[in-house]
Amino acid sequence: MSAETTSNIWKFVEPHEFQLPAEPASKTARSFIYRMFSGFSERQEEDGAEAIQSELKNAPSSLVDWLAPYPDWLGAPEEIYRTIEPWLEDESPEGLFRVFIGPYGSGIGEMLTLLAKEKGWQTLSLPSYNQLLKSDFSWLEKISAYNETPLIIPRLESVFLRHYNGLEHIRKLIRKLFHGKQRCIMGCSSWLWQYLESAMEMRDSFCKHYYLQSFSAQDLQVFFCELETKKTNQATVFRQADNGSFVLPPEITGKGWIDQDATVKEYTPATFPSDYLKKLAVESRGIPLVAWSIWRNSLKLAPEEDVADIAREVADKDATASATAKTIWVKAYKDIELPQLPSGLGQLTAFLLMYLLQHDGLASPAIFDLLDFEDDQLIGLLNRLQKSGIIVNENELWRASWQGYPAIRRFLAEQDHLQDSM
Amino acid sequence: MTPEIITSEQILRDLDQIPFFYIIILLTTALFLTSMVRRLIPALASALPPRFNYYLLPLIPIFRLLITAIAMLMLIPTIIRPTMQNFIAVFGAVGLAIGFAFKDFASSLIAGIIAVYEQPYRVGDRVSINGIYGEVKAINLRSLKLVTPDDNAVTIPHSCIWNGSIQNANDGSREQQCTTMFFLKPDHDAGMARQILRDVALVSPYTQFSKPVKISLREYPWGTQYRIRAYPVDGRDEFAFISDLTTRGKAALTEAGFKFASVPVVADTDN
Repeated sequence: MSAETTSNIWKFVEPHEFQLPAEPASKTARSFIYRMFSGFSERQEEDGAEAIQSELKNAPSSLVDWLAPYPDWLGAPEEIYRTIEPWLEDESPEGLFRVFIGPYGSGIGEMLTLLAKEKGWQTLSLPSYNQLLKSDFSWLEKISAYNETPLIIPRLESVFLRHYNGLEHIRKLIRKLFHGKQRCIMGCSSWLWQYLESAMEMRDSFCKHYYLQSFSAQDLQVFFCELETKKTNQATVFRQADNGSFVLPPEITGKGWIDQDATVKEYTPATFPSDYLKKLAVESRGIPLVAWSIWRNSLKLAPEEDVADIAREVADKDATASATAKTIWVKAYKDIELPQLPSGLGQLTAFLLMYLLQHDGLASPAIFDLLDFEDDQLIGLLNRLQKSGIIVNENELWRASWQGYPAIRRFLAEQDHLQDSM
Repeated sequence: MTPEIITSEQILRDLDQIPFFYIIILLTTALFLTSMVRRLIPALASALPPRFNYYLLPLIPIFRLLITAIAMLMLIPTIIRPTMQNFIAVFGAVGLAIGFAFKDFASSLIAGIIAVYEQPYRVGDRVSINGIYGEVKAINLRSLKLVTPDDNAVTIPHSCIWNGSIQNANDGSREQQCTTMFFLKPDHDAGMARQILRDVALVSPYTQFSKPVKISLREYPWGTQYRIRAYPVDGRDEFAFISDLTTRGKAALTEAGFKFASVPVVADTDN
């Protein structure tokens, strides 16, 4: 792996340094024109490549799990530690809180949990939903007034409930930590952060905060290459289905097995990061899990491939040297079908999606408690949004789907609801 | 010098000179355009984010007035001989007829033109006219149509602007401050009640946070009045917002043990 690709992709920056992945101005104009005349351009582009793309087979989920497993967030805890190290070593620090903010799907909670585990730091024992709902503040008593090691609150959403009894929990937590002497490191989603800032004007209560820098196309390339090499030794190349160009550098995903010169000569040499990744970075706003989920959705197999065979080969950890790499086809970004919100949805949809984002997912009873609408209406809406892939129900928790997030964000912006700043 | 006698033949064109086909096309086109304006602008407004409603919907009466005026200007010379005398005679006669027979109608029409210019109300505004409160749904040439919170449609002639007062709650903007009131028995912890009501406003999904949320108190001999003043994201949700705050507020205050003030009914013993 080149020096460039092994650099740490996790960066935490001050809010004023935060940048979204940029799309070149010419591309922005082109995509605007494309959207305006999408009806015409679709017809023009229906050539042979489109037909071949439609014949590609979906990669089985077991194979996708090998090619793009769930991220393990390695590297991120170190970067968090590096960011706060001077503060931890300072005997009279400026403020006792440090907050790390990431957008929906950033994995901030997992990163901080990992950090606490690595360093042996205490994590806050979380209150139950009923405690939050019923003004039961006994969970706060477990916080010690002084401890040499910092207290970690991986997800501030765990102590937040947008309910008239819920806000007081956050206030009391801040008050308790403020009057204590223990340092505290918190993770918070950008949606909740925006709410705390706009509604409760609590930004200054948290002293200093950092944003997780969004992934650029280059970062995504490193991210996907690392994920791919994690579980398989099989040489694999990722090529875009409509033009055959490489999406990830074959010298990395080939793991040294493939005849690089022959492979590269066979197809037009590509520049990296590829156009696919540049587009993905912009559309996913550089959010790790959103990009990861769309990436998984893009992986396809050639029509003649035996799905079972290739799954077995790629999953073979002890693969022997092979001159021929397995080709995984990647759907061109414009051909990826992402979940869209069904038409004719009203304000209740905006409320529901907003609540799901601010709480980082809610169980059904909580949705009915917090949103004061008819149960029938909510059940119908939940089913409709789940059917369209906008929300998912995992472990009895409703949350926005990673792939549906771009559409949700656009919808909330159109409805003029509170937006996060990431 | 003998005065010139104007006959009907001199005012109107001869029948064979009147282009009936042209008139039919002109009137049909005007009706078609008016109907298109009535359909297309609301359709465009509903396709765009809600904030555009307040710019687009008020354009409907302006376009309709323009189309009608242009159609009339194109129509009149095709029927009347275009001389100054003829125009004076026709407009004089029409004016007189309208003055006597359709006084109120004409008054409303002229008021409608003034209303388009002065804009005391626009489509989407929430206004109170003659004690009737509601959202302006349509502005026609003679009247405007309000829809009250009870979902009743009320048609009010534009002539109401001559001598009545018009209260406009949002005056063309999307924002609208809403007030929700609660009355509590005097003996209670006001600071706590205030905090609870503030939280009630902060957790409502309707609340807009770019505007302030204020809680004000007023003491009466029979109790304390609390007012939550806040803005919904969309001013059209005024009643839904107030209902939401009322429901949440009552639940929160009851749960916290507050007692609501009530005024006893006094029987009228005089009769």
